[in-house]
Amino acid sequence: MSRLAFYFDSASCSGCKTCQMACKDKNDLAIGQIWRRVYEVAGGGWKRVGKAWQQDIFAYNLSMSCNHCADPICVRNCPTQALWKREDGIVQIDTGLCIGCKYCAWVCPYGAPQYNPEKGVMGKCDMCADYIDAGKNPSCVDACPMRALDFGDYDELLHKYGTSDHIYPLPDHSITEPSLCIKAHQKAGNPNPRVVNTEEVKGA
Amino acid sequence: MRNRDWTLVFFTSLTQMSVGIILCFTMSSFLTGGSGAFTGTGLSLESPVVLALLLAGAATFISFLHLGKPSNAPNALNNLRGSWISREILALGVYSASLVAVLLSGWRTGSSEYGPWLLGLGCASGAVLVFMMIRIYRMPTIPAWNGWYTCMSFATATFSLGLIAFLMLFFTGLARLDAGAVSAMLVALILVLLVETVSALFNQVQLGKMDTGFDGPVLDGGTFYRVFLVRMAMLIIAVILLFYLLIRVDPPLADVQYIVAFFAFFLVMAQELTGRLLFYSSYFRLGV
Repeated sequence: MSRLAFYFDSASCSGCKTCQMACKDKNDLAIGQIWRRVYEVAGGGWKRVGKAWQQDIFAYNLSMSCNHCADPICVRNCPTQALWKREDGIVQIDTGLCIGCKYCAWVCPYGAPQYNPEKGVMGKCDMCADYIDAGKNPSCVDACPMRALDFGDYDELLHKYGTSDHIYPLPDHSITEPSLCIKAHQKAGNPNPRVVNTEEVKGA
Repeated sequence: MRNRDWTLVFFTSLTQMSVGIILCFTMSSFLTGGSGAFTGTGLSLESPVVLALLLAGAATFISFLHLGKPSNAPNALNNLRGSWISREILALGVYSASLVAVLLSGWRTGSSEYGPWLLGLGCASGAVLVFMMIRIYRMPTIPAWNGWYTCMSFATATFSLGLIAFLMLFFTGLARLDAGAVSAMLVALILVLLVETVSALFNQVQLGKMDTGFDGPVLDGGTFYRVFLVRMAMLIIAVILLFYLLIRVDPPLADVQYIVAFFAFFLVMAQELTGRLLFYSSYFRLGV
């Protein structure tokens, strides 16, 4: 089984959220449904060095959708088997089976499955599987003006970009083994990071 | 407080009360040698088995209200190999079916030669059902639920709700129990409530130390903490009132004892629902 994955370059992302809008547009998502979200992370402060004050303020962005994990906790726990994994590793949802129990949304550490109150079922990023089947890229990847997003086979992405760092606020990747490569922003490891656009990404 | 899911609060509480009633009924029958302390038999509403079945039915109905698409509910059994929710629903079905079988097997006389076996099946499937419920919430991505307290609170709630329902049958005159049995149940209930008090305090200390992330709930202050304090007050007052009943349980019971009993039972029920509400409100997950 192959393993399709996303690549995200946190050092290049300007936080324009074009990927977020391309996803909403492609999937015709209602207000409140954001399958790809951009988290704005900031931190640092001022410290006194001798007689001078120096700042170590930093900020970076993190574009996040479903990571089509190798060991998806949503698929494991879905009572209806509405969530399933394709041969190429894409985690999809069969809304005809879904009961809307929201358990997948509880357990996913990436906020990928989201409840659609109008339809009463869950929805999530399917990596634009129809585009991929037609030989095209996912809409978010093609929409990114900074070319901060890419997709492809996980091993090939690792070979190409040579990184799989998982930066704040992402969880330990051993929980679900996400198919995600990240080029970390140079200050991603700085202390006291926090998400500053919580109102925007809240509830996802 | 966020993530208040009232349908799940009532579904889990009613199911655990139902299982608790069956466990208490079986234990009391076993301890009294199956002499049948209850006036209700067969399909009578005074029968604890009927009460347990009605509660399980109400819980099942409420569980549908939680679903976004109830018409797809039969699909919930699709993943018995991997999902604890599927297994929970199967266990609920076996449990309810065993109670129906108990009633049908002895609906004329209130007992049959198969009755104890079917009741045993009800006990076993009920215990399995509560275990499945616990496993559903023990998820590595939900730190507040993935600990000892989920197991402790669900188990103690099963017994406290079962005991309180059992004692309510007695104090409303629907069940006939001797003073010794009532005293034993009051002692058991007081012990369970004391365990609940101590474990809830320890859990609150642990919750207060947790990093709930950038979008998580405030667990060491605010509304959550105030509701926790209200629950603790209800627990302590309930224990004091039950102590009073324990030393004044000999018949004939006066009006004041009935008033104290009903107030204590109300407090036990209310604190269980509040505790479950706090449980769901403590939800936060790792990651984003």
